[in-house]
Amino acid sequence: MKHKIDLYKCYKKTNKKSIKPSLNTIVIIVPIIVLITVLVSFYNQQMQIKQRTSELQVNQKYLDDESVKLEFEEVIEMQTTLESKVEYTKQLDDLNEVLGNKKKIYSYVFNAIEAVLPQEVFVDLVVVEKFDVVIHFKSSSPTGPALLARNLRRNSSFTNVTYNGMKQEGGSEATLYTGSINLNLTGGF
Amino acid sequence: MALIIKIKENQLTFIKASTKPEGRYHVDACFSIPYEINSPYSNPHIHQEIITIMRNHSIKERKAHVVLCSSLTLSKEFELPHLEEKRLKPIIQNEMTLAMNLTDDYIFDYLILGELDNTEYLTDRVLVVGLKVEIMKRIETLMKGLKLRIQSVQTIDSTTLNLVDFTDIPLGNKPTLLLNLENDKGSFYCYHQQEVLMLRNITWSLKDEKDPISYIENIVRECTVVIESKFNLDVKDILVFGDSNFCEAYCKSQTKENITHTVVPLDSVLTDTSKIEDLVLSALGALS
Repeated sequence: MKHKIDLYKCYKKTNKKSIKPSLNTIVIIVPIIVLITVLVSFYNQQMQIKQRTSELQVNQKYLDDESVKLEFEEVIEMQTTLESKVEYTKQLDDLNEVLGNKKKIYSYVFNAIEAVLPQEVFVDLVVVEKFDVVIHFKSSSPTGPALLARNLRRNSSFTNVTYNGMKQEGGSEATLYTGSINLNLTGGF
Repeated sequence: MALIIKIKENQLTFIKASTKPEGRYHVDACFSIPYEINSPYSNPHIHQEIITIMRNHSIKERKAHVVLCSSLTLSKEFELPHLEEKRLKPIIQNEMTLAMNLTDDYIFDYLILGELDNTEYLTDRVLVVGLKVEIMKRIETLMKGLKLRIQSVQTIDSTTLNLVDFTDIPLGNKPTLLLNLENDKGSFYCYHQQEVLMLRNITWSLKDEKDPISYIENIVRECTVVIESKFNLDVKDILVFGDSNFCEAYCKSQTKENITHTVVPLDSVLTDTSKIEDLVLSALGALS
């Protein structure tokens, strides 16, 4: 049980909470805080150095390992092979480009068309652009163009044969049927 | 020997006293000087004059207990649940601030008067005292000027209660009303079975009253009615101390047979009654 009132004690207690630190306190506490900060920072730095050294040692050990060295050499070799293959592929692409652009009329193509040409059909024009061929024809018979298209489809030298239909030209006595057929050359050429 | 300085609004009373093992006080010196504690100005010359007067009364103490008159403090009784001291303190501060609509610049202390066991839970009757920080600062300035260290700052109520506890004031076990009569204020302490039940302070001006004795009688009657209604107790004894003129006159004028009126015998409190002003008796409790 509390038997005595002492307002001064309460006043001092209340004041103590808001009292600013004295010069002596600052002189003592500030160097301690600075020292602690420096020590903590130094310790952290040392720990980081230790950690980095440890990591470096692990990495060095890994690099010095014989099996890793062999794997590494293998990888370098594979890389060299890959580079040579890539270079070779590039050369082939260039060659294809050159060959594709070369405007050379192959007698083989005409021979092949000639071989499947029905009697009543005449070839007006053959356009060869790389492997694409367009045949412009004239026929005295209405069945000639379809027959030509069928023969071309059956020939293994051609593929993607597209018959574009025909047009009737001329009078009733000298009727001609004209049209074109698109096709691709197969690897035989 | 210890020094007590009783501070009223316009007066300082210096008491050099000590306690004796038989439960009495020995007063070596006692004097009063006018001093305005509420004045915001502090005059070093006045402090020097007071020091000279103190030296003349052979007061060479370096520290002193300060006892504040009730007009400088605010006090209120509360009934609060029984709690640990550290939990009770903030509650008290909050209760007092709310009850009296106080600002934050007050300091508080409290005194547990007793326990109430007629409730479901244990309840403490607590006397809370508040003092403005500004007054405490003025007291500090005064004491610094007098080159004295503050031992404690107590209130007249707590010192009175301590005085009653320490001395052989004949309270008995019957409901007793202890009156401290002074010209400018009256304090009423109701005791029953050596435990204080109620405490009231009233500010008055007896010298301005036409019939001060009737005035005191009326207030005492009101107090007894409150005690009867609140505690269901009939006051049987009234003990009076303080201003000896009023005490004597009041006690002589009372004719009620069922209530005894007695002036507190000074020799029950003091070893030597010659060196004391009768108005400062209650301040001696600061030493207990």
